[in-house]
Amino acid sequence: MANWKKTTIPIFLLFFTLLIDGGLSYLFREQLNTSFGLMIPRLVIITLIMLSFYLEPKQLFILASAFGFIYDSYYSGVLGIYIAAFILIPYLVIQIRQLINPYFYAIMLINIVILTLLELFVFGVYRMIGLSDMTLQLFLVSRLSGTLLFNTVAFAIIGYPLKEWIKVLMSMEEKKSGSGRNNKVSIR
Amino acid sequence: MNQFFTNKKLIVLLVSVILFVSLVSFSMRNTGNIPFIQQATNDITAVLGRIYSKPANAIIGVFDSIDDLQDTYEENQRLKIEIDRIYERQAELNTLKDENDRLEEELDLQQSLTDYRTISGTVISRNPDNWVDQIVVDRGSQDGVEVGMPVMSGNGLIGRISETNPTSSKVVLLTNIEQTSNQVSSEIVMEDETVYGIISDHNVETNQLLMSQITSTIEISEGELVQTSGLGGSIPRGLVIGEVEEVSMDSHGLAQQVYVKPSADFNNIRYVTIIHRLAESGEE
Repeated sequence: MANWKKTTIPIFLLFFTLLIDGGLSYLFREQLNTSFGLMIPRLVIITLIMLSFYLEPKQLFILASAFGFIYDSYYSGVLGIYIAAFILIPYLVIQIRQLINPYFYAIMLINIVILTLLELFVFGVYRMIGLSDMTLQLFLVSRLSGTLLFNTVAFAIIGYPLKEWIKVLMSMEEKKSGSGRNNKVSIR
Repeated sequence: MNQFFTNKKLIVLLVSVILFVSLVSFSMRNTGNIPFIQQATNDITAVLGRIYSKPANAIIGVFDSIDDLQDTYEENQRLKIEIDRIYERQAELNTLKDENDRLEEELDLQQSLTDYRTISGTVISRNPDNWVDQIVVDRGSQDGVEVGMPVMSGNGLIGRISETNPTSSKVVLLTNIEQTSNQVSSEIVMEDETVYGIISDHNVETNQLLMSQITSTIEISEGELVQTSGLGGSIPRGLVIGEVEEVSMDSHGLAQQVYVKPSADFNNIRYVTIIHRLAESGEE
């Protein structure tokens, strides 16, 4: 009973942003297809990175693989790509969060780095399995720049409330259970 | 101890890479015939996706109609002139239809390539990363949708069904580069003869479809209508694809190729019509 919010709210957040991503890209496709590149909404990745700073590893990996599967199955039908990507993101963030404190701007920079890596990874896989014939240069110009710009702006808007919400959620949990396990990783 | 850990990590890495590669190849192999768990996931997500796509569509519809209202007068004048012409054409069409029916009866034709039924649907979402350009629509195998059916939006063909779940299905668009998904047998009906070809590529920058494998001796003029020919399996004849914009020879100089301006707007797809051809394809 004490744990129900901790399990349901991350699921809700990820699911909601996953659906928003798909919705944005079909309702505002014309607006997203700008002169400096196609913008790909990655709100679900932003949420996943943010959650990775606060949740426990076990829960993170279960969530990541489940939502990677949903993303693959629902959007592209090619299983595996986003499952791998979604599991790698919390893995990376867990390595990082042992070194730095989760300040807003630090997370923002990490967000940019991880998004770049993710886009490159997805591009590389699609290139390998032959579903894309774009060159690396064209990809950097026409996809990556726009996507990074869009998602950085999106992070600046939704990042702070998201962070505060997750923090409130975690502290509430600590008071109830009294374990304080989460503090260990975030403050060190 | 340290040695043990590196070994363990290595094994985990190896197993996950193998799993990853096999998952990708497995799911690419059987498109259209997907396992139950994936169908269930897709449908549950689609149901929840509908919760916001319905109101969003309604709101955007309001904005669209405000846009429409602004140039109503000019449009009305133009349409009035067009209607006059349509009456004549309607009368002609009726006589032709009647004649066609009688001739078909005489010839004992059951179904021609132009007969089809339509299923209309709404778009729920679109693949955010555009590597595989797909949209999800809210009609599935329960509504009679099958893999391979052509899909229209607005005025033109946009793609075909690539995957069906009980209550939702995926449409793979003509803008994809994968050859198997976007090849459509097409034709240009001119006054004296008909030219056949295959839609085989899409150029993102100019937004043009490429129709290739056309006999080099025929002269094609710009502005001609390109439509489906009905010769390629499950697509009926006479669905509009676009207009001829540019004619040139292909790189070998053996056949002609035509750049087609698609009638459908691939960036703005909200309602779709799924076409079910009544004539048997003989493929299955």
